[in-house]
Amino acid sequence: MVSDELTKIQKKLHDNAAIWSRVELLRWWGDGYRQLLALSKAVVRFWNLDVPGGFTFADTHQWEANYGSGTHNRFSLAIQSGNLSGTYLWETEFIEGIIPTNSNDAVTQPWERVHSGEWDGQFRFALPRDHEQLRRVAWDERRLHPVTVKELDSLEPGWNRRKGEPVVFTAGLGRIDSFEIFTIRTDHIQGYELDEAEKGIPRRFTGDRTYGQSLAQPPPENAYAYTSTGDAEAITGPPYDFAPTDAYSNPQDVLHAAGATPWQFTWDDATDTQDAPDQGFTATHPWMINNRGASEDMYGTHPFEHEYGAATKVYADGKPVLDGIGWRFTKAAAVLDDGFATHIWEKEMQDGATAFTDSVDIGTYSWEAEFGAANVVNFPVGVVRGASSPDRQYMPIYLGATKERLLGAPRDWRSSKQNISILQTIVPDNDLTESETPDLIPTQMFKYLRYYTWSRAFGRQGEGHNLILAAHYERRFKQGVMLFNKLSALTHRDVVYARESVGITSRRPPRPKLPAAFPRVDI
Amino acid sequence: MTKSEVRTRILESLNDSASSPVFWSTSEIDDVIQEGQELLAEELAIIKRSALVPLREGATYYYTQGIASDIMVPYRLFLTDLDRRLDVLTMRQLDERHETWITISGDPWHWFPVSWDIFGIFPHPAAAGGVLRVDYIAWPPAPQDDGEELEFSEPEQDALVLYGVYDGLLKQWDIERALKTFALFLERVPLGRARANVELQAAKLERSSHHQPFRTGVNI
Repeated sequence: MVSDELTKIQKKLHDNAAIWSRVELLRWWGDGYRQLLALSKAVVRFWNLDVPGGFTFADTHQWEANYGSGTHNRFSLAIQSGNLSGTYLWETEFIEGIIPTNSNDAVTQPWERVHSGEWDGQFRFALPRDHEQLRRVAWDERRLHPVTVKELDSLEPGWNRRKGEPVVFTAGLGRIDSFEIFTIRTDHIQGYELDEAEKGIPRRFTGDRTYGQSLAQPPPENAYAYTSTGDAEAITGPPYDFAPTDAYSNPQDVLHAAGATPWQFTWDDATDTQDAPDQGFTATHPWMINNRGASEDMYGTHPFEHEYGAATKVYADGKPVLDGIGWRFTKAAAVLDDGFATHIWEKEMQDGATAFTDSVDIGTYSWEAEFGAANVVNFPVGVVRGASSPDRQYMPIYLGATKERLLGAPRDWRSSKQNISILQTIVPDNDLTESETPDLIPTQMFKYLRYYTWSRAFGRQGEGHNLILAAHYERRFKQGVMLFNKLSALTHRDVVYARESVGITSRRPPRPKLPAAFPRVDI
Repeated sequence: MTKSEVRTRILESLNDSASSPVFWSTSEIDDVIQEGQELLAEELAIIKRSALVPLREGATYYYTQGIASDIMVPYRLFLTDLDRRLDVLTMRQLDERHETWITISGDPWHWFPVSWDIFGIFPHPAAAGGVLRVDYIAWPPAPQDDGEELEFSEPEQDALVLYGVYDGLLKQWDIERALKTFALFLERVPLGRARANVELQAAKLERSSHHQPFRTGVNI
């Protein structure tokens, strides 16, 4: 955890936040983390982008990009020294008093190309905020090669509008952290549609691929359905459990038992194999069924007898009567005494309305949705922990969260099929807090972040300033950068030893150098 | 040497009591010993471990942290059921071999690095089954007990003492002596590297020109 590291740093500094504040040290530690990732380029992650691309914001003016957390796409272009912004090309002519010529469509987001005609803008894709450098770009699993805009300009006029299968990518003409492809696909291709994404993380999947999945328990479907609050109280256990109103031993006694919910505390057996084989048998202890003779636990007749050591037949304290998740499929009237209704128009009638709403097909279990029930729900419990397919991998991508990174739930699903897939080095842009544990680097690399923090602390002007120590720790931090970089680069090289060649280096005597005035020899 | 013996030598070198140190806590010295161990392991690549991971259907990429928490870098991948060592390629080489190599399934023949903590295998298995053995250079575990023998050989343990003294001198603000001690620590590194059998110069062996040795390249 970061706080532990800061404590170690303070001990070495002999300072309890009198010279270097904890906030200051935390800031340097976070800077060191980002520097280590940026300089080593050791952390590489996949990222998939739907086609056409989309941005968080579509800006009219340049200054708008400085506000709002997300990616920005300026769809307009500057006119008249930047004093104005134009959307269509003809606006430029119009403002200058020239008779405008027809121009292509204008859109604010690249994905709007699905609905538009030709566009003069660039077919651009935004890279995530933690993007640092592109390592590989692929379209539909095929690598796209990088080219410059100059090469594309010389290749074909209007290359930014040419439709077809993408073959190359370019840094393009947009802001940093964006790129463009050639040729472009303007039909809408979305790897996964996150249905009802506003309600939380994905919980179910449909598609044409073979896949497996594992869900946390309890399952997200209701195990039972009920109609009223009374049902809910009765079936969910204490304090509303089925408290028996009386106890009886033989089924025949139920007619004489008191109350609405008498309870049989004995066990029935259809035949008594020992005393009366042709008659039924009721036992007070479970071991008596087919096995009389051995002593077992003492059984009571009422739940309170638990306290005196008695086990009971059914009751377990606090245990709901029904397992799983229940769901009320009815609607309560505004006045509870008026009861409940199944259809919306029934409730409206109970509530005294004079105009009624058409109802939908009512179901009681989640699975009834497959048969047209429109009212059933999926519960916000249980998440997908994994998915697998013989065709491809469903790979979890974590981008720098906490120590429990792989224990979380997937927040987004993306596909590389018929989509842009990039491989990029990343550097998180969020500030660390003391309670976090950065997970993009191994904990063994934390010592280099301490070195960075000490180098900045000793290099700071004022009390505690020590240039020698600052330089020393700076060198040691750079060693960590080199090490981390090597760890990501060396894995592709096998070590092969070879015997040293002997005698292949031939030595020759130096050429004789004669003085310039050496006399010519005339023969 | 055990951890407590290394700690004793460090404290005595710093003129402090080994049994009840005044200027350093026991845990502080233990942390320094562990830090020195990690530095030596990073430079010498001397600690090797192996781990097993089952192959899963359709899975190309594997997180190394999911295979072992102490993994520094894998250096050999081996399919145990096929008795096959996987050759190393780069993703660029795979792109050159097959345009959509990621879609190819079968028994793996190659592996390739992606990130410091991700590697991939090619082709990916179509069905789950089989065990991949990952041999890797590891970071040393922190000794759990005072009587625990450190994994490094005696000369490296001597280097650990030097590192502890260096760190202690820094805490005393004795910078000049600290840096000299650190230089002594660095002198031990090449010797340790030779002993780690990574550079076999004594045996007149050198690596082929097409391959790079495993060295961090860090000259500390």
